[in-house]
Amino acid sequence: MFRQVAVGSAAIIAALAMALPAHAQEWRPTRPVDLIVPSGAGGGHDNNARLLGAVMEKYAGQPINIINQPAGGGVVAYREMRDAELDGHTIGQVSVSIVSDQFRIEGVDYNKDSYGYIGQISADQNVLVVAANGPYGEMDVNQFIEAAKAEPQAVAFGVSGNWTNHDYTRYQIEQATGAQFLRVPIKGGAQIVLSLLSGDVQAGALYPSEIKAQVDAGELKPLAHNGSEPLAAWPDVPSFTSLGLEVNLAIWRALVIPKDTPEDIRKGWERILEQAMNDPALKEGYANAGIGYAYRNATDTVELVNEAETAYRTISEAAGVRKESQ
Amino acid sequence: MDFASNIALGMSVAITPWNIFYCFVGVTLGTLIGILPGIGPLATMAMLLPATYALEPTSALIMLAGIYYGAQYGGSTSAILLRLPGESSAVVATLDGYAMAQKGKAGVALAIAAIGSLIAGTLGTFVLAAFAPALAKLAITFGAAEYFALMVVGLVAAIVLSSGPILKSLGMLMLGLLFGLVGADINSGIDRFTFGIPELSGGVSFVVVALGLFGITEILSNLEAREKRILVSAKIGRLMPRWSELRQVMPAILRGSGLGSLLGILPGGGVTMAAFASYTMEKRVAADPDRFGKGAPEGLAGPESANNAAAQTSFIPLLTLGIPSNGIMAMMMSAMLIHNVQPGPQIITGAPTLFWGLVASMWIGNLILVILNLPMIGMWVRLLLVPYRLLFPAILLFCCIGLYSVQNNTTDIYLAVICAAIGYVFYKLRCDPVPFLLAFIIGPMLEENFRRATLLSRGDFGALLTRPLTASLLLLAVALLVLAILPKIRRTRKVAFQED
Amino acid sequence: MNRIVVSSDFLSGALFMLFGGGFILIARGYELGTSVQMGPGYFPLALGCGVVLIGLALCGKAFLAPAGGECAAEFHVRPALFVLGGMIVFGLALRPFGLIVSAVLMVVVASFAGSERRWWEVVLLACGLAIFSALVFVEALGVPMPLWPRGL
Repeated sequence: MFRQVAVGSAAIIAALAMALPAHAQEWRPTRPVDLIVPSGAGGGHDNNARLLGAVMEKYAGQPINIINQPAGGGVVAYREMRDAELDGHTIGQVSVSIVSDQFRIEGVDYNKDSYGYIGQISADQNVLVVAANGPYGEMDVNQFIEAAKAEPQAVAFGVSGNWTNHDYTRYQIEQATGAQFLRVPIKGGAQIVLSLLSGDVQAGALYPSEIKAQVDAGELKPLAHNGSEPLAAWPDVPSFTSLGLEVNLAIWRALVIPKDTPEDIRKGWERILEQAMNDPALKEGYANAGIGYAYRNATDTVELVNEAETAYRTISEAAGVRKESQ
Repeated sequence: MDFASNIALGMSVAITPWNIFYCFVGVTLGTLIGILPGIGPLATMAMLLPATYALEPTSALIMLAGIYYGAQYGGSTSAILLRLPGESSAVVATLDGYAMAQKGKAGVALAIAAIGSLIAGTLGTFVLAAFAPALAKLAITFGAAEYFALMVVGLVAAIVLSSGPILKSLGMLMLGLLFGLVGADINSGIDRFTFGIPELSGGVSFVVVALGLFGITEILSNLEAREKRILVSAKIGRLMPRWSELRQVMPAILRGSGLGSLLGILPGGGVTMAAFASYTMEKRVAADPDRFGKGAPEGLAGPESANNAAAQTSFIPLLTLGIPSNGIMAMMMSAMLIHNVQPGPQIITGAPTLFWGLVASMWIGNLILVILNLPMIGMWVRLLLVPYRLLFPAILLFCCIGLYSVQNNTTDIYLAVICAAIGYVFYKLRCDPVPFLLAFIIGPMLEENFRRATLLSRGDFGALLTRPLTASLLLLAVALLVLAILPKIRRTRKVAFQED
Repeated sequence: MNRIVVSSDFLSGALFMLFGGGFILIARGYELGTSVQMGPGYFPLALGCGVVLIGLALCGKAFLAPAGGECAAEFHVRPALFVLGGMIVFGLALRPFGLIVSAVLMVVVASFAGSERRWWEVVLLACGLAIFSALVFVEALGVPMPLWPRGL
C-alpha cells in the first residue's frame, strides 16, 4: 500500500517527463509490468529482483510486480518468460541456468537463443570454504588440495543438488587439481553451512552472502574463489585463476524479454536498466544484501551468454552430465 | 550483560509507540493471511519488504516477525473451525481442535489455543533471551544421522497420532512417504514420479495435499451429509473455557511449550516436528488416551503451545548463527541485510538494541494477538452459523486463490483436485489421512538425511548407532512404537474374542 | 452385493495394492544403487513393496473377518463432481479471463453441489465473493493474478 502511493507519484512524474518532446520516441511501459523470477520468495534471486525492481520503477514510471515462479526448479518460469506477450510488459530475470539447464535437466527446450537480452544485472562467485576448527582449518588452499589429493574421497564436499553451480565448481576443482572429493548433495547453501559446522562435510563452494556471518565469526575459512575480480568482502582470498587453476564458472544474472519483442521496446528496457544500474541506491542495496554488482549492456551480455553456453557445453560433455547417476 | 538489563533494554525499544504500531500491523496482517488458506506468510513478507526500506531496521523486523507468528496463530483458527490447515504446524489442530468445534466447543477451543499460545510465546521468548547462544551450539551438533533419527521419531508419532486401525494407518503412512518422493531426487537429479510434468519436479507442495486431503474432502463430506438431509446444526455453546478446563490443560501447555522451545532451534525441520511431538507426548501421558481425536482439550493445547514456542525459538539459528533454516527465515535475513545488519554470532554484541528489541517485541506481539483475538472469537464462531450453502463456495474460492498463489501457477489447483478425489475415496474407506499427511511432510527429509548419513559413514549402518544422540533417538522411536502398537493389538484381540 | 467386495478393509487393501504396484512399476526404471550410495530407486521400491504387503494383509483380514468386517460407506457423486468441477473451471478460466470472471463461474458451478439453491442467492454470492476476493487478495494482499479478461 505504501508502495502504491510511491509508485503512483513516480508515475505522475514519468507522465510529465513523457510529455516533453525529447523523450517522445523512447518506449516506456504504459501499465504495470510483471517481472518473472524463477525462484520462491526469499533468497538470492528474489532479493536481487526486488531490489532492482524497486529502483527500476523510478525510471520505468510504472509499478513492477515480482512474480515468483519456483515450480519445476525454474523451468516453468523460463518457459513462461520465453512465451510471454511481445508488448514489453512481461520481463524475466534469468541466471546462468538458461544456458546450463539444457545439459542437466531432461526435456528442457530453451537455451541462449530463446530470449532477447536487456542486460546483465549481477554476478556472484563461489568461495571454497572449510570449517575453521575442522581437520583442514589450519591450511591454505594449496595445502588443502595436497591433503585432498593424498586421500581420495576423504574430504566430504557439500553441493546443493545435482549439477548446480556448487557442483560444477566442485567438478572444476577436481579436474584442475586431480583431487577427489566425496560428493554430498545437500538441499541449499544454508544447509551446507550447517553441515560444515556440524562436521558432516569438510568443504563446500558457496556464495559470499551464504557464508559471510560464519567467516566473520571465524567459524568458516575461505580458501579461494572462482571469480575474475577480488572478493568485495575478503580481498585477500586468492582466485583459482591466479593460482593457475581453471576454476572459473562464476554465476551471473540478467534481464530478458521474449526473443521477438520489437527492437524499440527492448532498447527502452535497456535504457531503463542502465539508469537503474547507475543509481547509487541500487549499488548500496546490492552491497548491503551481499549481491555482487556487475552490469553489462545488451550487446556485452549476449557475448557473456554465448561464452557461458560454450563453457557449460564443454564441461558437461566432459563430465558426462546427462548420463551421470553416481 | 545480565538478563534483566537486557530485557529492560529490549522493552525500552519495543514499547515505543511506533514499534508497538508496527508490531500490531504485523500480527494483524499475519492473523488475516493465516486464516485464509494457502496464502502463506512468505509471500506477504516478500510483498511488504520494499515498504520496510524506509523504516528503522528494528521496526521493519518487528513487523515482519509479527506477520510470521501472527500467521501461525491465524492458521490454527481455520484448522479448528473449518478443518483447513494452511501450515504444516496447523495439521494437528485439525484433530482435537476440529472435534471440539463439532461438539459445539469452538469458542473454548479457540480460547484455549490463544491462551496456550500466549504462555508458549512467553516461555519461548524467555528461552530465546536467556539461552540463545548456548542453544545455537546445540543446534549445530545435529548432523544427518541425528536428523534421520529425529524423522524416525516423527514417523512413529504419525502412527501414534492416528485414530484408525493399525494396518490402515501403516499403509497410509507409507503411501504418504511415497507421495513425498515425487519430484527431482536431490542426489541424482532424476525426476521421480513426475510423468514428465515440469511443475511436479519441485515436488507436490504441502498446501496442495493439505487442502485437498483435508479441507476439500471435508466440504464434500459435509455436503453429502446435507444431501441425506441429516442436519448438522452448528452449535455454539460457551465461548470461554471454565477455570477447571484451564487447569486441566495447563500441564499440557507447559509441556508443549518446553518441547516446542527445544525442537524449534533445530534448523532442519524442528518447527514442523514440534506440534507432532507434543501431541504424541500428550497422548502418552494421558490416563485415558482414547479421548484423543474426539475433542480432548489437551490434544489441542499441547501442540498449539509447542508450535508457537517453536516459531519463537526458530529465530535462534538465524539470529545467532546467521543461518536461515527455512524460507521465512531467509526472508528475515534479507530484511536484515537490506538494512545493513548482518545476522550472526556478532549480532548480540554488535546490534544489541535490535536483537533485544526484536526479542521483546515477540512477547508484546503475542500479547497483542491474544488481546486482539479473544474478543474476535465470538465473531469467528458465528461463521459456523452461516448457512453451509453460502459458506462452502467461499471456502472453495479462497482455497483456489491460495493454491494459485503458492507458485503463481494453476497446476497446483488441478493437483489439489486429484488429492481431493483421493482423499474422498480414503474417507469413504475409513482410512485416516493424518498419517499420510505427516509422512508426506517428513518423507523427503527422512530419505535425504538417511542417504546422506549412509554416504558419510561410507555405507556402515552400524556407525549410525555409535553416535549417542542418534542411538537414543532411535531407541525412543522403538519404545514409542511398541507402546503405541501393543494396546491396539490387545484391543483388536479383545474385540475379536467378543465377536466369537 | 458380495459383502467381502464392499468391505472397507478389502477395498482399501485393493487400493493400497494398486497404488503400491503403480509406484513399483514406475520405480523399476530408477537405479537402485548400493548401500553406500543409494540410488533414486531404493526408497520407492522398498516403500512400494511395503504398501503392497499391507494391502494384501488388509484383503486377507477382510476374508477372515466374519462377513468381511465393516462395510465401505456409500459414495456420493454429485457433490464431488460439482465441487471439483468448479475448481477445474476456476483453474482453466483464471489466466485468460481473470479473477472476477473465474470466481463467478466457480461459485455458480459449485452451487450445484448442494441439494438446495436459490438463483438470486447464487448470483449475489458469486458477485459478492468475486468483488471481495479482488479487493482482499489482489488489491490489499497484492497476490499477482489477473483481474479482468486479457486485452481489456
